[in-house]
Amino acid sequence: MTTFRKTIRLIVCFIFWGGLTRVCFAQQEATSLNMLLSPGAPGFVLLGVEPSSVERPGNVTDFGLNILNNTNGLSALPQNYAVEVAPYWLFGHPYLSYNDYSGDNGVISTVEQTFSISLATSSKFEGAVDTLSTGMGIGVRFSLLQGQIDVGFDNYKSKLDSVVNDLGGLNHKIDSVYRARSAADAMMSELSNARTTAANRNDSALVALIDAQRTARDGELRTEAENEIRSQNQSQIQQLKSLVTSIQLRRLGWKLDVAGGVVLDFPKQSFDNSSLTKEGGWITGGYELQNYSLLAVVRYLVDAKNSAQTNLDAGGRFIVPCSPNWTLSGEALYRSFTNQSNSSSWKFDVEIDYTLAKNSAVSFTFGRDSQGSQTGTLLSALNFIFGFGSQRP
Amino acid sequence: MQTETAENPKKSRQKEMRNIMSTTLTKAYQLKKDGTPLTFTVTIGDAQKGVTSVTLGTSSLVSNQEGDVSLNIGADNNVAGQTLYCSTTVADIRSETKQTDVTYQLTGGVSDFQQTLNESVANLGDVVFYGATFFLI
Repeated sequence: MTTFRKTIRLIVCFIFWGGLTRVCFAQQEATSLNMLLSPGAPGFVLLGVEPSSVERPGNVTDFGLNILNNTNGLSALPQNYAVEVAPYWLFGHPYLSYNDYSGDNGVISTVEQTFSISLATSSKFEGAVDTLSTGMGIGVRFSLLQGQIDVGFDNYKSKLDSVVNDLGGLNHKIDSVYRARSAADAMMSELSNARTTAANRNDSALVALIDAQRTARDGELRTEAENEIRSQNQSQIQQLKSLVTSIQLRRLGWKLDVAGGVVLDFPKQSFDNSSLTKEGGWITGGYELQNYSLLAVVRYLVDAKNSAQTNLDAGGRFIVPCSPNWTLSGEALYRSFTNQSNSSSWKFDVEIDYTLAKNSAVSFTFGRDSQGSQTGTLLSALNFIFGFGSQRP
Repeated sequence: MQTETAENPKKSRQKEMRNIMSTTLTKAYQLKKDGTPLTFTVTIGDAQKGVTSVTLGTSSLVSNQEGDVSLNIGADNNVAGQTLYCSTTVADIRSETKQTDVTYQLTGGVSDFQQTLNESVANLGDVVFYGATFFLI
């Protein structure tokens, strides 16, 4: 098939998926696109078990777990796992202000904040004797472009303003209570007078002792004020917390992610027999609008065992939020091999994503696979995402 | 890391940075008393949301200001003997992290002072109350 015909076929695929999802426009509501479902970890892609080939850029949590159940009948226990860590967010950043985070702070800051490392495993039976082997994919991923925060999405800005307003109310209360206690505290008054006397006598040792006592007493007054405010404002604090957890962040505009990694195979599950079998890199980019998103990927995978299997993938994905919890997407991926004797192939799939609860989501993928010997076979996968450490909104 | 105290100004340094797992600090801040202006800065980190109130003695300098604060307190001669109170309330709004940090910086005295207080919260939306008290001596 000529390149032109292949291109036309690709465009037709996009149009087909766009028409299929037209129903969703009529009843869609804004949803947390940024936080709905991290795509499969890069490790899954390298292992060839990714539920969707065109990954959604930009979902980061400090620690996440993917469980992928990729079977024809969805009857077996999960066989594929991945953990992903974003190192930047494991540590405190005292000088990272909210404005720095939400604004455009340059590529370096974006890379730092979105860089993640993933470790994925996939077990499968291989060979004529059906020997169980395990593959381990080690991947990295980061964003070059993240888009801009959609301040109008789900009343994002007004909710943040309400949060600030509520914080102001609490801050005013605790500040007033603390200063009143401090002003009325007899011990603080005595310590202050004693310090003045000691300083006038140049008694540095006594001054130091008084400073230590004053520090301790001041800490006690702060703690007492906090306990009082927390006790008297439990419902307000809980409402503030609920407001914060209801905030959903979405970034629109141009997105660009870079990912890559390597695969180690452990035939017969023997550590001593491990070998590097695959390596690759890919770029995922696209544009996200309020009502839909269009993404594309170009990927190059090198098969260290069989150079004839080295391939170049190109594809796209169309994503439509149907409701606050549901997202529908469709993708098409064309695979060609550097060795012309290998036939190129297509992968098509539809994915349904559902937010289970805070910090967890599930996706179901169904379609036509094109992975190696599985070309043309049914692709059916159930993928669970859990974010540990920090809670996803 | 060495702590600069009122009784050993010879050991002072330009900046003293410490990250301490605490939400309050109290400091006797030594002034030069030569008319040097004092500058007070509050920085809320980890991309969290917070507000700050600053009071000098009984006079309010800033009330519930969102985000970072930078103030000229005044000439050290004029504020000697007073107390600088600061209250900062922060909410964890970031899904990426549970860390909250507030950095307090006071300059213009015998030595500059800077300290970061931090606390990790249990859940998204949790509130942390930070406080700083400076006895200007």
